[in-house]
Formats: sequence, C-alpha cells, structure tokens
Amino acid sequence: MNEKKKKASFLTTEFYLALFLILVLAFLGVAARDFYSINNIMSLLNTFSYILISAIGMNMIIITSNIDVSTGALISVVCLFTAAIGKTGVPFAGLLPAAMLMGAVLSTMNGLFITKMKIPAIVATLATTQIFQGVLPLLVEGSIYDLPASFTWLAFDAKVFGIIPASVLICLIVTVIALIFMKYSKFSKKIYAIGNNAKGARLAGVNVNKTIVITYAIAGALFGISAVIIATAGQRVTNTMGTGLEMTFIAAVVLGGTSTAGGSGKIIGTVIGAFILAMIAPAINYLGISPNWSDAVKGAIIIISVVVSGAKYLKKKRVIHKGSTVEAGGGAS
Amino acid sequence: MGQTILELHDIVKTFPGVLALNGINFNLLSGEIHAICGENGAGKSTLMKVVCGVHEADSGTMIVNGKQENFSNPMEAYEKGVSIIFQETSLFEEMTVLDNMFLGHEMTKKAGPLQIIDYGAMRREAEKIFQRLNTKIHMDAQIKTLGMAQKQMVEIAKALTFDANIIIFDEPTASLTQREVTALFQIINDLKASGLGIVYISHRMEEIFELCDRVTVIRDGQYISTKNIAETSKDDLVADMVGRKMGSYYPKSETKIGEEIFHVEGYYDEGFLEDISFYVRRGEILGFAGLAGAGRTELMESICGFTGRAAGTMWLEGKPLEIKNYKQAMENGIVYVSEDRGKYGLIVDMTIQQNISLPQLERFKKGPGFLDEKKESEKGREYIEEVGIKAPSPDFLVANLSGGNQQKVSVSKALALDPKLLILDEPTRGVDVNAKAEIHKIISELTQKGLTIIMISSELPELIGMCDRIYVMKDGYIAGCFDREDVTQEKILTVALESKKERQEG
Repeated sequence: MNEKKKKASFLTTEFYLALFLILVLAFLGVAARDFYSINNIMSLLNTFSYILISAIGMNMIIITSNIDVSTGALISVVCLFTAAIGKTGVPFAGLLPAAMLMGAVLSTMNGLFITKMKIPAIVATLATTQIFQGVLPLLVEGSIYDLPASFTWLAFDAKVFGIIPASVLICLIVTVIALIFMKYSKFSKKIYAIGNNAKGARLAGVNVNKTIVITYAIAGALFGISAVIIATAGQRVTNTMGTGLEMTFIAAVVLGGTSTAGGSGKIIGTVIGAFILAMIAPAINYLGISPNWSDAVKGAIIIISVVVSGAKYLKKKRVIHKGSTVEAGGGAS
Repeated sequence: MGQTILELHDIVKTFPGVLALNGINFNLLSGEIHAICGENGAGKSTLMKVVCGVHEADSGTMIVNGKQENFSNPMEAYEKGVSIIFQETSLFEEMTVLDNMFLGHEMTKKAGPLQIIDYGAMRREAEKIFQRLNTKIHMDAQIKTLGMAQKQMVEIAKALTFDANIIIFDEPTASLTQREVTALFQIINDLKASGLGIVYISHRMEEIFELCDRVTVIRDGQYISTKNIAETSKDDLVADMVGRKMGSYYPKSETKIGEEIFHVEGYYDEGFLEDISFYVRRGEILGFAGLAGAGRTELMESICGFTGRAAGTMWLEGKPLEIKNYKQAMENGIVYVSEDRGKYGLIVDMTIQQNISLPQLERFKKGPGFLDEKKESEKGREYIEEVGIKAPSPDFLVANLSGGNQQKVSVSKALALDPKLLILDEPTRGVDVNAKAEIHKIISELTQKGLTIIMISSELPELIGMCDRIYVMKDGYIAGCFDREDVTQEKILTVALESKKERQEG
C-alpha cells in the first residue's frame, strides 16, 4: 500500500508534463539548433512571463469553478490605459501599480456580475468582453504612439545581468508569492473549498460570494501586470494588444492539470503549462513550419493532454475503488 | 450521566406550505446517547439542521451548555461545542484529510508580518484526535481516495477539532457495512464514556436498542414521546411512530385480476439488490413499501434498463424478456414514471403536448421528418380531458402548472406510450390533498381498463388504500409480502425495520 502511494504521488500530471517538455526541448536541440539562440530564448522568456503571471490569476478563478473569457479584452484596455499614463512620462514604478489597480477594478466588475447578479461566469465575462472591446475604439482611434523612453524602460533598458529581461524577475517574484499564498494562506483553502463543494463551503462558514469577488480582484491585478509587460514592449500601443490571449491563459491552466470543474490545480502545473504554450510559436518557427500551424498545434496539445489525464483519472479511480474497500474492511476489524 | 447540555423547547419550523416541525421538545444529558426516531419525513433531520444552524427556527428556544443560543450557520454551532455529522458528507473531495478537518478554522502562526497556516500544529492536533479515535488515516490523502467509512471517520475527527461536547449523528450507518458499523459504535461509545452527549438519528430499531440510552419519537413534525430504552420495546416505538389513524378515503375499485403478466426471478445487482423475485397480475395494483434507501427505486430503474443489465430473469406475458436500455422497456410496454418529476420526468419549459409526444416523436411525424403539430395538439387535448389536467390548452407551459397537474402530465406522457405495465414511483409526492385524491382516482380507473400498475410509495396509508398486494423491501431485498386483506401499517413497519439477523433466524 505504502509503496503504491509513493509511486502515485510521484507520477503526477506535473511530472508527465515536465517529461514532455524535456523531450520536446531535447528534440528542438537536435532538429532546430537556432531555437537555442540567445535572442530567441530571451524573447521566449518574456512571453512566458506574461503568460504565466496571468495564468496564475486564471488558475485561481478556475479553481473556484468559475472562468474568465474577458481577460484578453481586459488586457487590451489596461494596455491603452497604461500607454495613456505613460505618454505623460510616468516611470515604470508608477505604471505598474496603476495597471494592477485598473486590472483589479475591471476584474472585480466581473466578480460582482457573477456573484451579486448571479450570472454564470462564462456569460458574464462574454458580456464584459464585448463591453471592453466596445469601449476601446471610443477611447483611442487605432493606437497611442511615439511613447517616450521612460515607457519602454522595462523592455529595452531593464535587464538582469545585462541580458535577461526584467519581466522574468517580476514573474519569478509573482510565482514565489503565489506558491506560498496557495499553500499557507487561509484564503486559498476557501478558494479550493468553494470549487469542490460550494454548499459545503457555505456550511463551513465561508462567505462564498465575497471570496469569489476577491479572487477575481487578485486575478485582475495579475492581468494588469501582464498588460504592463505587453504594452511596454514597444513605442506604440494598439487597441488589440490582448486580443485572444484569454485562450492561451486558460489553455496553460488546463494543460497544467487544473480541472475546469474546479476544486483542484497546482501552481507548478500552470508554470509548466505556460512554458509549453510560450514555446509552441517559436518552436514551430525554428522548425521551418508555417506559423499558421501554431494555433492548431496549441489546440491539439490541449486535447491530447486533457484526454490523457482523463484516461489516467479513470484508471486511478478504478484502482482506488478496489483498494479502499480492502482498506475500509481492514480498518474496521 | 450528567447534567443537561442541550435543551429544545417548542421548536417550530415552517417551509413554504409545510409545517415541518410543530413544537418539538428535547433534552440531552452529558454522557448519554439519545436517539431520535420517526418515519421518513417525520422531521428528524430538519430538527437537527435547526439545532446546528443550517435552518433557523420560526419560534422556540434552544439552550446549549446553559446559554440560550440561535446559530446562523454550522460554524457558529461548532464553536459553541455542537458538531453535526451530516447524512450526505460535507467534505471537500479534492482536498486532503488535514485540510478538511481544519477548513475554516485553520491553525496559524506568525511569520514576520504574516499569519500563515501552521501545518505542524495541525498535524500534531490531528494525530492526537486519530489516536483518541483509535484509527489510522493518511492525513495527506485526498478525500476522494477514501471509502465511506473513512470519510465518516474524517467527519468525526473534524467534529473533535472543535472540542465539541455535543455530537449529532444523522443516519450514520446508511452506507456502512456491518463491520464498519460495529467499529463506529465502539467509537460512539468511547465518546460517550468521555462525557460527550450524543444525538443519534436513525430509523433502524436494532441500532437504537443496541446503542442508545433514551429515545425521543417524533411524528409528522410533532413531539410524541421520550422513553428510556430499558423501559420500552420495539412494538411500543413502532406504535408511537405510526400513531395516526387511517382517515383518508381511497377510491380503490374492485377490478378483475387476470393472469400473471410480469414476472421477475432472482434479480441481483451487486451492492444494491439481492435475489429479488416478484410477479404482478393483469389489472393489479402492486405496491412496494420500504424506508428511504431500501432499494425500491433502484430496483425499478434497473428493471427498466436505466442502470445497465443486472443478473436475473424476467418474463412478460409468458415470454422471456431482455431489457438493455429504457427504449427497449418502452417498446415492450413497460413505462416508468420517476419520483423526481423535475429531474427525470418532465421538461418544464416545454408545453404539455410537447412533453407527451417527446418519447415517441415518430408517431407524430408528417412528411420527411416534420412534426404534425395538429396531431400532437389533439393528443394533448385528449389527455387533458381523460386525465383531468387543469390547463386551458395543450400548448400551455408545464412550468406554469401546479405540482399535481404536472404529475398528471407525467402520467399522460406514460399513458400515450400504450403501456402494459406502468411503474409509478412516488406518484403523489409533493402534491396537495385534492390532486392526490384525483391521481388515486386516475390510477384506479386505469386498472379497470386492464392496465397493470406497480406503485412505489413511502406513504403507508396510500399503499394500503390503493394496492392489491404489497411487497416490503429492506436493504435491497424483499423482506415480506402482504395481501390487501390482511395488511396493516404496523405489519409493514415491523418487517421494514426488522434486522437481517432476525430475518435469517425467523
């Protein structure tokens, strides 16, 4: 029994994902050596950073058994907002908190629609997607351009050891905080409890609605961080900077082993999931395949991973069913 | 036995349209196990949900450990020393045992400016509790990997993390094996010996007599009696539980009962049903009695092919019958009307006629796959008249009908399939008195037309009033059979409550 348990705790979704990742990286080392050029790796790390930061927020939302499909549009709005402030010469130290606040406010709106007005999360966030996208052309026609050097400081000047993009450092800080938060905070237990069994959580004295709204707010702040990284990458910010990103975030979360039914999911899985998704486009590029394939490949990887983890789950369930009867009988004797 | 730790006076609780509890009195001493017993729907569980703050009482007082209290959620109750172990477990499947035990009141420690969860302290506390319960459960195991008995153990351990001195068990043995029950009783007795007061809700006589010190009977939401176990007998308790007189009138008309039409032999489904044999004759109303969870619905659903094929043989009109799914059952003339109208019976956002035609759209076809709405409407009108559905037209939304009329639509839908055997599961649950009488009349008329009916009901007077014969089920087997002439409520209850051991001996 004990041996079995050890084996089971070792062969997790995260383990298989990491294995897959290593295999692909090794394959790329042979088939597309240019993939490992410094330029490509640094650009990949930057993409990975903003995907992971948002995916952590999305992961929390999905654990509560909700969803957010408005993230892409929300990031577009925050990008423009950041650019508008940045145009006046506000430095990065001011842009980051402003964007986080803006993201949190917009995401809190989603949370309130879902809890106070009892609109299903997918419907509420579909509606806010339209609202965000509808507001964008009203704010700015096309784009904000000729942004000052203070705006693009993060992308061009802030390098760790003179080479690694500073966004990686932000991502590292966010991830470490998230890891600690999800393990050691009372709040995280509430998030998991709600996703497992909302009625049970209520019976245990958890304020379900409040917890969901706060979760959306935290996620929104994280979306805001991603928006800053995306917006400050160039001197021009258009009003479609975030379009479609929500699918990448959701994909990273699902790929990382979080159940869309809610109640389970780990940050580590999301880290690997985000890395795989960040890697697909450049990998395809360096393998000499048409970039038009990258979305299809993303889709295929998600389907395969969900099917594989589903099959594993079924098998596990069967084994456990047998085991538990034996164990229960033994415990009673 | 010590002082009074829980007192209830004149507790009243109403739900919309139902008086669930009407003046309940109850008291619990420290170091005793006090049973609450009553029939299905007597209000046992509701009472305990009031005590622990899931429901709020309309009036009455509750005194816990000497102080008057009124809890608004179970967490408050836990903190004041009252723990409840729910019938359906309230655990979080994907989370660990440890997380479940301390959810909502995790132990914390200071780490710099932050309050973080102190897993070490929680582990030590859990270790102590498991030792007290003399049990071993892996603290990091997810709940979904545990068996029922272990889940229950986690619930008990959770209750003890609060230092509770009152623990309520709501039908804890419903899904346990005999060995697990013995182990559970040992634990309950240990808890009692350490001075806790235990409330034990059950309708299993043998358990109450084995385990408890006193017993309070409630019936139809009313307080009936409190007795010392040593000074009472099973018959006394059954009499208290039944109590009411047969007042209502049942329009059972004499029908000519014909030959055997449906026969089941040696029906068996691992874990649910064991060795069930019964038959029903043409024009007969056959009743199935039993307590909740006795396996009546499971048996009928299995026969109709909902749950896959179980072992056993069936004959319909003398010919062997094989049913793999419900469609086959319908084609053979066996139609089932579910106890849960909303979930399985009707699509309430569709009209009466649409609901009736839904199982057999083939018959309402016009041209290459269009729906003949005129024919559908005629059929709907026909049943509105025949069954007496109170609706202005057949294209009236089912959602806008009363419970009784919805039930009539359910029956119409079944009748439109021209069944030979109609299985009605709790046909009058949740309908008012008048609709109930009308449904009884419809059932009676149908049998006069030669239809055969199997009826499951938890209301004994209804079964006794309507049925020609009644089978009594318990724990997935048929525990007895009575003819119309010599059945009484007491006889049925005695069989339904009898333990397996007694059955084998007798």
